[in-house]
Amino acid sequence: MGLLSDPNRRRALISLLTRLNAPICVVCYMAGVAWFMGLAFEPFTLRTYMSENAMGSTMVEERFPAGERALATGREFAAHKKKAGGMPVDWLVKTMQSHGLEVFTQRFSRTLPFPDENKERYMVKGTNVYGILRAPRASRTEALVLSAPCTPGDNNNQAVGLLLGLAQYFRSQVFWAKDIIFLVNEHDLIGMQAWLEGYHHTNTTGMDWSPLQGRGGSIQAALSLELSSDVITSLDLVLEGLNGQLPNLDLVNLFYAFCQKIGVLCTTQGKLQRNDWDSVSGYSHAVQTMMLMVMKQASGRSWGDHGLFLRYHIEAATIKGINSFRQYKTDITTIGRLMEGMYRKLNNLLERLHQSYFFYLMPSLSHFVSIGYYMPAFGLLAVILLLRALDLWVQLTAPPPRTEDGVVDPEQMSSPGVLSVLTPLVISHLTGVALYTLPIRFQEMAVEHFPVSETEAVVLTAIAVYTAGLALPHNTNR
Amino acid sequence: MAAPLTLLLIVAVTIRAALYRSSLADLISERVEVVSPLTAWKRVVEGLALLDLGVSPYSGDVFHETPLIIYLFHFLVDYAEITFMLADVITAVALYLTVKEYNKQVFRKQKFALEADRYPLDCLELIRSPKEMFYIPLKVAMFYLLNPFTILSCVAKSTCGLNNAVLSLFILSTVKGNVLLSAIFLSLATYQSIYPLTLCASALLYLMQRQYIPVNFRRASFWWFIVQYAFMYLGSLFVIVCLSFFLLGSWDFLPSVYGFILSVPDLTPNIGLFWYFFAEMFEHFRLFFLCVFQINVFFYTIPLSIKLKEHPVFLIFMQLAVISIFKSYPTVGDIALYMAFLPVWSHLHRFLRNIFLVCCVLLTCSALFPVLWHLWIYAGSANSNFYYAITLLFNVAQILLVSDYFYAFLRREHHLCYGLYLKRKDGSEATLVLK
Repeated sequence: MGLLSDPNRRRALISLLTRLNAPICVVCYMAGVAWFMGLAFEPFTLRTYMSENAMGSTMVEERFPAGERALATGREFAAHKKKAGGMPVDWLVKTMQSHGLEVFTQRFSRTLPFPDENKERYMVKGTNVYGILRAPRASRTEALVLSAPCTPGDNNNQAVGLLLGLAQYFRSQVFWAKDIIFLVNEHDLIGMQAWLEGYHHTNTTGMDWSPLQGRGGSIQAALSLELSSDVITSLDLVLEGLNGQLPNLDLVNLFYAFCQKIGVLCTTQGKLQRNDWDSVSGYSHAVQTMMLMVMKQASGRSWGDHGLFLRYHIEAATIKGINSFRQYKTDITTIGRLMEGMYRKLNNLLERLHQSYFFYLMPSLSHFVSIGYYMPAFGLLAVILLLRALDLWVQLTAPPPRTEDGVVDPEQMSSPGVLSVLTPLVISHLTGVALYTLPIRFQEMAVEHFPVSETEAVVLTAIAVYTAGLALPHNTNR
Repeated sequence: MAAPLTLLLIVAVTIRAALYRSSLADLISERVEVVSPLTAWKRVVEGLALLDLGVSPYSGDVFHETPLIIYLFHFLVDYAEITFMLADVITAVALYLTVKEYNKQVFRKQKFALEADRYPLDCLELIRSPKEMFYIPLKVAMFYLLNPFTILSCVAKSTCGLNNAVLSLFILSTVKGNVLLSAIFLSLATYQSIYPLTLCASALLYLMQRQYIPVNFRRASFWWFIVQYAFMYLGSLFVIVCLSFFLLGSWDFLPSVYGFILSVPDLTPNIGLFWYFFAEMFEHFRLFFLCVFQINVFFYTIPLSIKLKEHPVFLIFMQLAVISIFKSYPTVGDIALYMAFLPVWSHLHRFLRNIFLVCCVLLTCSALFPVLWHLWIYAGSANSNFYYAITLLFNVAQILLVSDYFYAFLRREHHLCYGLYLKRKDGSEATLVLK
């Protein structure tokens, strides 16, 4: 503790700090921003590599044949969906049972905090349908999940068709060591959350769901499929989950490896990787990809159905099929082969994916920046706060200047007491607590007594708290 | 001063009662920073259930409390919340009375020293006045009752509150000069957890000072007093241990309580230093490192007693801090007890050097404990290294706090002897360095 106890060195350091405070802060800020921008520059990034040993060696020959049949199933699903006006539960149950899966359904309902704009309803009701393919020679301790959402209209029919086609194909194979659960969820995130809560026997959102009749063991990994066209030009990988949580990097590496092997174009954030990293446009493309990932994580919401799995420590990602104006189209059989290959690899896992990074940024799918490289940029920005705080502290406790005859002016001796600092602190925290709790509490009361709608009540309460907060500087100054 | 104290007690009890009724009570009683395997309420309930079934509560390695506690809660289990709030109130009132008595003695000693002209002329600004010392007892009670650590510990119903109550009663009886009560409360505190044994030395020093017995190895009165105190202390300890034997009918509690504290078999993470170390250790070296870590707690008694033999109350503060940092299963309730003493040394603030850094680190670590626990246990993105890093940082900050106060105290004593503006032999200004 030499620095903290040697008074001469301390004094030198503190005088340096107070003299050069503003320049050091400016330099730190510029360095932090420059560091972050430099992360997208390709020589500063690392190529992705597979960290999990269990997924390294086995590359099998994928033989999924039934692409056309999957499309036909998808069209049948679309017709039944239109007829049922929602999820065609009976047709799905019958189809899955005919493929040899153990099929179960789950009903759920949720009261929305604000009424639905289209139908002015508060309650969302739905059904999830899932079929479990039991591993022929293993005990039922681990599972993998493949899910496709059932969305109204013309979306995601091909995804459900491919899911059913894969289910039929997987059923005929004998080497599965884990149970595979094929899930079709209704109402996107609400249905997925109901299923996950039922599976894990938790109830964090207060939703109403019927208990699951069939289970498959602890889920090791999950993939969510979104396909809305018969042919695609590229596959997009969506990683960001709730509160910006990301799956293990090994899942991304797996996807990228298979896309390279099968020859499908793969993108992240909808942007295709470019080779010209040393040109300005190439670099700005990488920066845009990385900043899109940062902004999506910052939004806090889940950008695919997979995001809810991450909270339960299950690595998951969403694969979206994109059909744009390119010449080379990939058909469903190839996508099926890709999914088959990925699931064969995930089948070999001995334990959950934990070897690779959990916190990373990707300027492109083949390069990544780990937290050890992007955290110093944030650290440099946080150091500025520390330096300013130290500067203020030193100024507060500096001994007052002596007058010529050695008598110290007593008026300057008083440093501000703890009580004067405590008052604005307490008031600020109380304002924060008010902003957090009051809008929700006032919502029902406001609708009863005033002619406003729920959304307006919440917004008006927040505005009221903000306006009251305008008086804060007056309250805390004397 | 009774009215502000009563108001403070009412506010403190209200806060605790409000938290007991909220949904946070269950959440807090599971946090590993607040409860340890020695003090958890869940384990007390388990032990009571086993006792009701007629089985020894120590079978099954769940319950590690002493038999007196189990019998206390056998009768009070329905009023558990009131018991813990009462324990906090007793601790606060005992600390209040202690500090009032101590301030009186400090002021009297200072008056004698001033009359005897023992202070150099330029350190008059270091002399304390009754006006500034008037609110210190209330501040001490406030620091204890309104400390978030204490509130968390009370709401979690951790028996650390009862330990703190016994320790504060020991300190009160020592400062008032009552030798018998001091020995009895110290033996109760030692019976609960072994570590208060180190407070023997400071109690002896204080009582000898108060009775004007010189602290000199060659005097017979010194040894005679030690024999008297040891007799009272060991006698009451013997009586309590035998009483425990007769209450439960077996000596099971000795390995379950004292064997558990000393041999640290349970490696649940907590804010102490033992768990990670012993999780990583090979069995071959376990006994050696166990001895090293346990001796570390007791070892500081001797040098600290020699250095601080004129100031036994500060020695008690240092010992409490050392016990809270280095014991085998510390919780935030232990920290709250020694932090309650900090207003007593508020006149040292001009000599404290690192207080800003220490406060920032303590606040940051307290905020980071639940975050890294969540990241390790629930999200699976971190591992035990992250949590232990925060534990280490927290303990380093506490050690820095204690050593800073030690430096400030010694420096003030030095200035009172040699004057405030030190000059070297050639007349230039000198600085004091603690090596």
